[in-house]
Amino acid sequence: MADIVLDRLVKRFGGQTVVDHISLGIADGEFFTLLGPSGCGKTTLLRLLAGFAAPDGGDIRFGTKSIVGTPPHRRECGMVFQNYALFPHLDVFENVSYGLKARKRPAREIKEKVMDVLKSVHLDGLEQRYPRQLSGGQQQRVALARALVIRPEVLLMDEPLSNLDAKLRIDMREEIRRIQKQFGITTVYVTHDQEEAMAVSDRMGIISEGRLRQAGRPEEIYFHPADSFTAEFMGECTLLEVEADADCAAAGRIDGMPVFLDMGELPETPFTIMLRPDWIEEAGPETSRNRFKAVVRESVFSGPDILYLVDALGRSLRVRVPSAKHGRPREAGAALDLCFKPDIPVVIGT
Amino acid sequence: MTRPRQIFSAWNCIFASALCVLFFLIVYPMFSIFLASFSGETPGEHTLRHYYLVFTSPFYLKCLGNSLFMSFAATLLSVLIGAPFAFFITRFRLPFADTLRTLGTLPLILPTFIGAEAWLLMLGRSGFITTFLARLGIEFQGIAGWQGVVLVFTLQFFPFVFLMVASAINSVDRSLEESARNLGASPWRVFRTVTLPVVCPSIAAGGLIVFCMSIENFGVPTIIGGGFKVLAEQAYSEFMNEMGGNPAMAGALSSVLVFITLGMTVMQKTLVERKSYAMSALRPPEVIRLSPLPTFAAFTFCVLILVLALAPFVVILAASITETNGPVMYYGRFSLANLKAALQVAPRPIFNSFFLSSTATIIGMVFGMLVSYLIVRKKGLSAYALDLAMMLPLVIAGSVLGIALAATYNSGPLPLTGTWMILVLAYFVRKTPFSVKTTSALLQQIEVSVEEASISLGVPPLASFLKVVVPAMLPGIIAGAIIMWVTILAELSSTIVLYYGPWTTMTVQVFQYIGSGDFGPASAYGAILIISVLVPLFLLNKILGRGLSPTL
Repeated sequence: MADIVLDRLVKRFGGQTVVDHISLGIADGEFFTLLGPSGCGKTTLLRLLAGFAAPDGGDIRFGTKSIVGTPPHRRECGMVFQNYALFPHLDVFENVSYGLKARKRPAREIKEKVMDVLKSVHLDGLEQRYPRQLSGGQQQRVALARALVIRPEVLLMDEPLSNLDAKLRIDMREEIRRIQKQFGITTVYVTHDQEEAMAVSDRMGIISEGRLRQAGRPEEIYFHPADSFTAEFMGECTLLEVEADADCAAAGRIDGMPVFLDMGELPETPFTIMLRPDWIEEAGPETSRNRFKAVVRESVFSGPDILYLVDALGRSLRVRVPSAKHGRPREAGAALDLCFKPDIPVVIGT
Repeated sequence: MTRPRQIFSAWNCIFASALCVLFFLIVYPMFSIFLASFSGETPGEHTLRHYYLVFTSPFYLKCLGNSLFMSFAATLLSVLIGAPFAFFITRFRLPFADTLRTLGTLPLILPTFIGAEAWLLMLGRSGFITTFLARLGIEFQGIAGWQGVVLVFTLQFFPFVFLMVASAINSVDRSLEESARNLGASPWRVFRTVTLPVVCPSIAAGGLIVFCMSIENFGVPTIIGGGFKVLAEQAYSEFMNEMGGNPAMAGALSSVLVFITLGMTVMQKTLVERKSYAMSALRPPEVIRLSPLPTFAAFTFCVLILVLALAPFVVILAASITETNGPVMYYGRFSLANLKAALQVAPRPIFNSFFLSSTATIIGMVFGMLVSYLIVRKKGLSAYALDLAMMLPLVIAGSVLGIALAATYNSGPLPLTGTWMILVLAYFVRKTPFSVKTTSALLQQIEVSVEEASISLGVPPLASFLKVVVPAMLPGIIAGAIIMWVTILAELSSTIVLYYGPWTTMTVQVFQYIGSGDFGPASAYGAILIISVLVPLFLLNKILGRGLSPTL
């Protein structure tokens, strides 16, 4: 097991730079997720780590040793593929023992280790099954067990849950998280689903157009995105322009409304703040700051909460309110009193 | 970074040697006879005289016209039989549909010239049906002539159309027709506007195979044509003429033949293949239950076609155990004399056939496996070139390739003509496309990540290929090998040009016996040939649980 260092890593395909000077450190035993839209270079980055692609510049180190010259089969990277890539002609036991056999371990040890790992992914009893006789979730576990059993230095996972249905996806991500902690293996996980990324990761990195936009803990990135791309990619949000205001008490004005912000030093006006739909709430009788009127245009009821599309602050705005507190969704045309806390918006750099 | 380069260079070596093989066995020989077709009477002289002759002399024009006529006629009839056959079997609920389907592929494995012999035995001037009709007072001149040629081609090649169309029908998802119905189209309208257009490219593809197989065929016109001269046969006789052949004329005829098939193939590729609608069907179309009368009609049609197409098997097997005296068959009198003679007195052709086809198959199997991998996995221009070059032998008539090889390796540093090795090389290069096709079709379904998974688990690339890819390709490799072996056993057109005395094969033996009117011994070797072809196919069916169909 080892920590991973990416040092100004570059990969080009033809004239296109797919990985653009990415530098990143991943700690020993950490679960790190690469998150980004499709085509952003995150899978290429993973394949550079696995050795299926060679970088055009920069360095990759596991621990202190550079692995750029090491061929993929000597890298000790366990990899879980998007389509699982199980060997169709081998049964579960043979699939999982494949890597140990390649390492010429004694038969007894192989049997022991395979059984252990199958137990930890809850597949004991299915050793004789062939991949085609397994459900999607079971195939996923075999792929995971096969990668884990060789005790790799690094575990790489390429969108491992994208072929499963929604319910199973949530079960499996908890399972993956549990097993990763149990084995303590440094893990790099690739996904385009921000919710999944937040649920499994210790830390994550946002990739777009081959560049690393931001790296940090899920809540850091959610609450303090570094730029508008990250802000929008991490969940629904609204960007609001704050204009200069003569009244020195407020930070500025949005569509005439004085804005009070409680977050230390503020940039010079005009600047942009970001609000997520659930950061806006219904104003109570005593609320005076950042309070505004809104008119409902549409509402979507989704169980725990209601998403309103409203006209307010001279634009349309998305607002999410908890249904238990709010009650029945209001009809279109109804008026709402809304507000946001002074310490919650995020200033977004351009 | 150095390691991956080295790995690729191992594949580069294989790639280079594959191109070498194709160059020396196809491109270079074909190019030399093409060049030879321009050579004049004195060395160094270049002339278009031979091409001028092909297109002006009444005799050669007749050959050209005959070749085109019989091929188009056979293609048209094969489509008219094969396409409905496929529709009936795949779309309607018929009794014994599975059996009909299996029997429908059988004509493909009957060597065509043996089919021709069988039809001569039935409907030739002294065939048993002809004599029977004569006894009834019905005058029938026999089938020899272009009618016989077209009949044999149609009955033996319609399965190509049938298989192509059947697999096309099954690869169209049910939802396509259902959405047409849903939009308000009547069943007939759905057939006309959705089903038929979607399978049209496959009808064309099947038709092209029939055309190429017909125009290159040389045994059938010779045996049953009764003076019906065609290009493939004429190229051979110009080359082998006992009065000292005319290689330039043979070259010109060969080149014309190749240009025709090449032209047809290019046309099919550009006009039709663009409109390929193959989709990964989740649910094949619904099998319709018809009312009794139409069911009976469709069933009768299929059975009738099969009876005609499979009659030669029965006739040859029966003839092989019938007492004979030269061309005279004593039907009803049982005798093992001919089979005994073939197996005991002159078993050499049997040994030769087995030895040559096994050797060529083993080489072709390994070569086909490696080439398939290169074509499917290492994409890019060079792989595309290899793919094209690999399919080249399919458009070159066997006799033409035989002539090209014989002329090229007659002298020089590698005088192979007149050895058994040249037969193996010819078989290998002619039949390896089958192995490449079956293997690469399967390989396409194996995702690259399976290989990468093996590599990431610590197995080096070449070992990963052997441990993971080869086992997964195995059904394709075996199917390809069996098809190679079986078609080489039945190969006449290149053999007749390249064989010499001690290396007479079963096919040559049958052909010569038919030529001299010795139908008894011909049928004996023919029966042995048929059985040696049927047994491995039966095994293939048992082992893989499927027939020829998925491999085409």
